[in-house]
Amino acid sequence: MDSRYEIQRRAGGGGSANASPALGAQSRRRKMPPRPADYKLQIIIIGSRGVGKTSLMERFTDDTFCEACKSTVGVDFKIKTVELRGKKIRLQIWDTAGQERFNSITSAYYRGAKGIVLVYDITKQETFDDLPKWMKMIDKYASEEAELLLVGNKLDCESDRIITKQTAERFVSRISGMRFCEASAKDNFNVDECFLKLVDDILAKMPLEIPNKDLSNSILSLQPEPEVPPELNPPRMRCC
Amino acid sequence: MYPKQIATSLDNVITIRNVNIFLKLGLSESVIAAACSRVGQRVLHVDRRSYYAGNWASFTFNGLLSWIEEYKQAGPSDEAAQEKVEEGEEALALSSLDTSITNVEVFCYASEEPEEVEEGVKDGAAAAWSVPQTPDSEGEVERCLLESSSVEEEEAVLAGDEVAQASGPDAGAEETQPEGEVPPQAYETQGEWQDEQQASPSPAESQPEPKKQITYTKIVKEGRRFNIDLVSKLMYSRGSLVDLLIKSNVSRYAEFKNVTRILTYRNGKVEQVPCSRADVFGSKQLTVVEKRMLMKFLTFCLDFEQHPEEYQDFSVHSFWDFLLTKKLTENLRHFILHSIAMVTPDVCTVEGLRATQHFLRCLGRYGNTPFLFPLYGLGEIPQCFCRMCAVFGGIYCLRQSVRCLVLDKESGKCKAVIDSNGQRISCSHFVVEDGYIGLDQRKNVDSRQISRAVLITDRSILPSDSEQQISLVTVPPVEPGSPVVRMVELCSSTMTCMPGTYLVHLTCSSSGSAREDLAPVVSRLFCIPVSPGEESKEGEEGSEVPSVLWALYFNMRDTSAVDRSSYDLPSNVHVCTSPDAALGSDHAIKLAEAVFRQLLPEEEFCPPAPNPEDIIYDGEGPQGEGPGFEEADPAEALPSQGEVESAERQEEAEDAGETGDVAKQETVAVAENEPRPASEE
Repeated sequence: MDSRYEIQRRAGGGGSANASPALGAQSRRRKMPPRPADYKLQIIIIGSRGVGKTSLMERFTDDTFCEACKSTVGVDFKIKTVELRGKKIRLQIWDTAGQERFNSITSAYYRGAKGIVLVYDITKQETFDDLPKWMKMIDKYASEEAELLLVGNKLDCESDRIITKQTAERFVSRISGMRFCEASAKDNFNVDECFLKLVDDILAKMPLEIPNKDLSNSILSLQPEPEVPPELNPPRMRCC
Repeated sequence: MYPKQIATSLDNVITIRNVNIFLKLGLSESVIAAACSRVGQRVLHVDRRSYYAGNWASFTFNGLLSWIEEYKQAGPSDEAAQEKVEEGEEALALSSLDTSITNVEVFCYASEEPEEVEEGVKDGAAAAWSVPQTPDSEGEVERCLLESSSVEEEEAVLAGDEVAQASGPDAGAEETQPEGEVPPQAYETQGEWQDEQQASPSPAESQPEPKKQITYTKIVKEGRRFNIDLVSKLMYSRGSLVDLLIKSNVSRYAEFKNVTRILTYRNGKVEQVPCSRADVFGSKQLTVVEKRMLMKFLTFCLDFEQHPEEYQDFSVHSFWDFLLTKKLTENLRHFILHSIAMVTPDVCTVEGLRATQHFLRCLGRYGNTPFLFPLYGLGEIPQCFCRMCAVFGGIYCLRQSVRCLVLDKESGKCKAVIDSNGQRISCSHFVVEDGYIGLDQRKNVDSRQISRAVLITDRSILPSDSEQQISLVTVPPVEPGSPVVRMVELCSSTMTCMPGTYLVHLTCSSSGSAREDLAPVVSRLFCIPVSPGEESKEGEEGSEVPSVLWALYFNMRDTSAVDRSSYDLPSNVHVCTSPDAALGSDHAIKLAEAVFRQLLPEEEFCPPAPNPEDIIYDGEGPQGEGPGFEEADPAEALPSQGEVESAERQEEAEDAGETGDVAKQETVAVAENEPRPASEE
């Protein structure tokens, strides 16, 4: 087997990137194994170009803000672990990779998202006018169980505000279960609260145990490979 | 987005030199685009369609209806290119007409009666937060999306929908909630769609209902639950596509399910094909002697190169002739040829052995069969590569196309393209799918055709304990001279069809139109109602034959065997082929790699994408190395219980580091909590 494909076999682990020669890998040793995450949730962020999707994400995950950064390159998703309702939750927050620029976000982007953050810019009318278009995409491709959050970003530009809070609230009121917040990624106002409210909504609806899916054929990721039961691997016949 | 806006935005791209431009979003093109972007190339990837994946796409039911309409109508003829080019240049027009799909025929057998009122209540909450799911509005919206001739029209439809939304069932004032409260209604409908039973919320109607007839209206209403692929393939667990997905880490963008059984149609019945050791020994169709014969032969095939004496004499003979000399019954030869090797009888011995070996080696990597299927359908896979491309800076533009290439007269090479808005974009390479190439440049291209059918049915062709089976069925020629037909039956948990239905794909090499080629098989395996909504007939053993609710037939052009030299194109224009008829995607992936090596011979093809946490330096450094498991052949060394436990401890430790681990929740549940079932007895 090619050594470049160092595939991790541990349960639930991933990322053959650790073997990438381009990155120096550092060992990290832990003394006490901490509690693993109770839930792993996928959240996507959508909205028109320039509203501040990446900024909101980076403010939440890294507590950073980059004024100069114009368009998103190289950001796939970011991880943040939070504690809520006594549970440890690993959030995987996906960015659009800039595909909204020409209205070309893949339908695949919406799959599997448990939470969807829809962002507009309170100082730009067209970003609010675009919202029905985004709702259509959500309706078409996202899971019906996904929790929705509308965020009016750039609250720091209150003096340039065009969209009133009432206008947005009216929009949200027509959509069952959708939350609304206003925030500022730049000033770090209300960002954590928005995301945590969304996560809380998701948790509120999750069953206490993992739902009993049809055991005969569960969903797989390619990495890592799941354990194969012994009866399928007799010593005589190598691969079946 | 208004065309004007697109043009303005693309202005920024025009000034960039050395852009690689890709036309069409098929699998090969997407892989090459991702590979180029990954190593720092500037990529512009466009498609005149409003959807991804081109001929590899999957559609909701309503999306498919729009697609059908489009191909049924005669398209506009190729416009004469009157492009403005400079001195020393010449224009090479591309085709604006897609002729890759022909003979589209649709048959609807489901009852067309309107839905009963009670269904509306269940969907109330879902409808409230979205565009109302009435057939008309969905269809209307889909048509608007497809051809963006009038963006204003689309805007008007959206506005209209928003108004309708407010007055839709259950919506509006009742749902207004002050911030901080979750509407209780939402709880009731959560997860309901997963149930096979259409349970409605009101207590009076909550008695268990017999299996309801599925009407056409219902299919349209639930149309978004369908993801219907134009291409029918499966993924070999050790094939090029799976290996590439793992290598490049693009696998993180998708999820998969095991194909749970391999079936064949023989002597008028659908039968299970035993392929794994457990299957062979558990099979009720094989005699004890046959079991031993089959095991012996398959064991030989697994390492056949180690025993050249067994097959060397037959190197010029066909695989079928070779099988005839082996101690095998006719039954077994049938299984091996059609369901394991899946080759035609005339292929040479070594090719047949290699195919058998590949099948066997793929067993057990992820499950009991060699195959995987992507959740939401094959159309997801090109999109996953497109996302990788975008993450590394690739620009994506649907509803945009290239009208012609600008060639430098002296070198003969393509130096720029002119897009559908008349904008000129400089480029260093151009990658295009066969369908865009004008007639003049493909005079010598000799292509084949693939016959395809898509059926929506109401039950599985082979009932079993579980309704959630994914089955590969090989149907040997029903008449002498007709082709082998390959069928894939998908259950609703693949997210390709609504609960209570199955999505069945048929494929074969074309002799005639798709209906001519495939309808005979369909009528043998399924019940085609004479009148809409007719109940399915009883089969021989009392098991009910599945009814076809809806059927689509079409032919797709197959240019996979065409040599690049058949095209009359500049050297820096690279052609990707249409999907091929094989079960796996090896051809498309190998082609992608070959084109990449021509474009960028010095670069690595799809190296592992860094872990997202490693892209942005967060001060703590990248995640440490894992427990250091090499990927071991599962049969060689099953991890001991102790190894498994220490691996789990290691995972916990890394969890605390909050980096590196991007496994989705369901995967964790599978690996840690849910025991694998015993194999079918």
